[in-house]
Amino acid sequence: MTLVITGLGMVSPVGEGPEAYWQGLLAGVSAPQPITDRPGIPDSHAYRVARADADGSTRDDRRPRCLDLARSAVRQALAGAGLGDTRDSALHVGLFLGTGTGDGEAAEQVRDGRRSAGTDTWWAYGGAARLGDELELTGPVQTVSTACAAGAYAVALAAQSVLRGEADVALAGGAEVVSRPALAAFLRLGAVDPVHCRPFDAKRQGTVYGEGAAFLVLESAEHARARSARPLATVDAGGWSCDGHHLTAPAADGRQAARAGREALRRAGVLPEQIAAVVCHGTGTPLNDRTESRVMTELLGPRAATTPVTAVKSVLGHSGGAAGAFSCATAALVVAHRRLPPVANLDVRDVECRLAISSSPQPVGSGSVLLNAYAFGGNNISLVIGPVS
Amino acid sequence: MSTPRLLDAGIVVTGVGPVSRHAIGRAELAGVATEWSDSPARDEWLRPLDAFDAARRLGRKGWRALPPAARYAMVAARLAGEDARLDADLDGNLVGVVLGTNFAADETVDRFDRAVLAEGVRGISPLEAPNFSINVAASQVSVDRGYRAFNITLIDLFTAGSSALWTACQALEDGRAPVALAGAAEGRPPRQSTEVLAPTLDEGAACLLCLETTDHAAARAARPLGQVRAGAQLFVPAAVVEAPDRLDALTHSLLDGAVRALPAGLSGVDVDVVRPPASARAEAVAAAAIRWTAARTDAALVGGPDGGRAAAQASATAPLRLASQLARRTTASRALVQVVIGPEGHLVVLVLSPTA
Repeated sequence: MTLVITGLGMVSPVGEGPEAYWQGLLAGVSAPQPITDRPGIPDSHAYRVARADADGSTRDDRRPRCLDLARSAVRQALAGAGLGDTRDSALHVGLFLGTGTGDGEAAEQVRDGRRSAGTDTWWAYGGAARLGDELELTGPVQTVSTACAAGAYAVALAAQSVLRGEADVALAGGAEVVSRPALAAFLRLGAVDPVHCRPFDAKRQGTVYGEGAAFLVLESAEHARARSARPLATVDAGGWSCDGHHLTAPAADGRQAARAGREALRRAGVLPEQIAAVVCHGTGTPLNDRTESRVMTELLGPRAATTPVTAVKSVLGHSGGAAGAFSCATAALVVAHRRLPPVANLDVRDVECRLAISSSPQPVGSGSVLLNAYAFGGNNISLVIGPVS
Repeated sequence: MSTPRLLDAGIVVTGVGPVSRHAIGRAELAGVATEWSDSPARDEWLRPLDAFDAARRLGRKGWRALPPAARYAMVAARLAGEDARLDADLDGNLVGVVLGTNFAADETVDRFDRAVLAEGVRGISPLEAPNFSINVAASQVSVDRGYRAFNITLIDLFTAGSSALWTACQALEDGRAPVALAGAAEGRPPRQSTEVLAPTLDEGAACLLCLETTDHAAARAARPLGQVRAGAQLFVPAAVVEAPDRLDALTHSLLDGAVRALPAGLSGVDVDVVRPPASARAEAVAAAAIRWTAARTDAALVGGPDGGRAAAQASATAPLRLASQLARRTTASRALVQVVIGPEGHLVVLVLSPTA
């Protein structure tokens, strides 16, 4: 069975909706903003999503923001796929949401005195179920929290759910907003770049938090064809692994990350030379980028020097549990447009990162796109997104 | 879909690793008479896990900076591996980890945030800094045991541990590894969670099961406790809960399918309907499952006429109940269907048969 992507939805620091998102990535211009709405972490910054409520009114900051972003991305994706009503009782639609900290902001507001404790402030991870109720979903609804790989794992699990016939259609993605305790932990670990997110740049000092939500609609090619939906790309296969090495640092030898990449290619039936582009995890953290460069060099072999590579966190920041979903959505757009967005903020490239990165958009030849997502705990996943034949 | 999916590959349970206030380890678990139903509310809302001694279980070093849920998960993994008699030299690339949790990071996140407000980021210890991430417990199992096939954390309220078991079965079926440790680990819950789970909660628990392909288990002469035949994971939206006919149709179709997934020759099926006592939504779904069971002469509810109202160990509750039943089963004639119902609409069904 061929699995296809028929809809995309994004709420990102560079725009909402696939077209604005794509143009924002190609422009490669964005900057982190000072975080002014979180007492306790002065002098911190992040790539934020600034948005009013849907009706244009000023946003009520007591509403669950992560859920709001996810809801917008889901609705865009459903509309793009031509699936207006999920309440058709004969259609089993699932939803797989990757997130790291969910809607923990409500509890933060209780702690800093902005609101009182209530029934809606203690559980940060009810977003997927809320969407399940709103959309009356009857397929699997699952929240994945494998840290910064959660969004990619959500897509992988959703893909398997459709392939196994557990859902006719699956919504797969991720959502994340700034979390004060998580950002503070990153700051304490010295893992935040004080300027901006600059993967593969010689002066990179860490990552920078990002916000947003990205969702994809997955279904079988046959199901899409039966309802005359237009596929954007295929989801071919995924490879999984775990370093089992350290809670925060990747294993420097990259052996397990490479194994995930090889496994993705093997399961997809794709040779390294058939990879037309790579959407890297690319966090801007010195060791992560160096390790990923080594892994991609090993995996792609002689073609590593010429296979175009991008790192969208240079434009979006690191949206944690949503990041892998953004990479999947980006890969689908790369396959559809045959162009690769630039790596932004690339002043002096790290000589130890010998990949075909560019500060300008690059053309992409025929073939598939490989994407990587790596996470706290050494959790790795690579996915192959292919062109529609 | 509203029918369980049969596993193409044979998947067996070869070991259990329970860590709870009732029992730590299979031997203790087998001796516990309880069906894991929650006791009535008492004065306190939180019961300590006072039998757990991290130093005795994990040694003097390597765990002190970890959150309690990670310590419980590490011990549960060691116990499950010992119970399954996994070779200590087993290639870690052959073993995956899927862990459910709801509250593995709750206490840490709360403490970090209060420290940041009081002292700024320096209020967080760098050694503890990674612990804000809810996947630390699962990750630490892989770090501790060297299990590297995959490592996934699932977090839906109450059902995450059962989702983890089903996800692990499917990963084994897909050939991602021949062995997986799967289940749940929990840390201290927030007090408000008593409103949807149970009046009295435990401060922590864990339970991991060792799952293996039948081929792998047979090759090393492992002694299976049961075979996972089928499973389902779906969502029951509020609109369906409010429509009794639709709810019965969905639930009964699921359970009919579960029975069809079983091999012939069994004398009956035990149905374990696990749901939190404080959730009216979960109770409505449970009632439909109980009606199905009552209408069949070959089916019996686990835990008496009301079935399994229990949630004191949050997402670890259902895996603990499952392990408890596998550990105490002495007859090889009845199947077990566990129906796990969350307060937010999640539903997981696991269908197990005895092994010859």
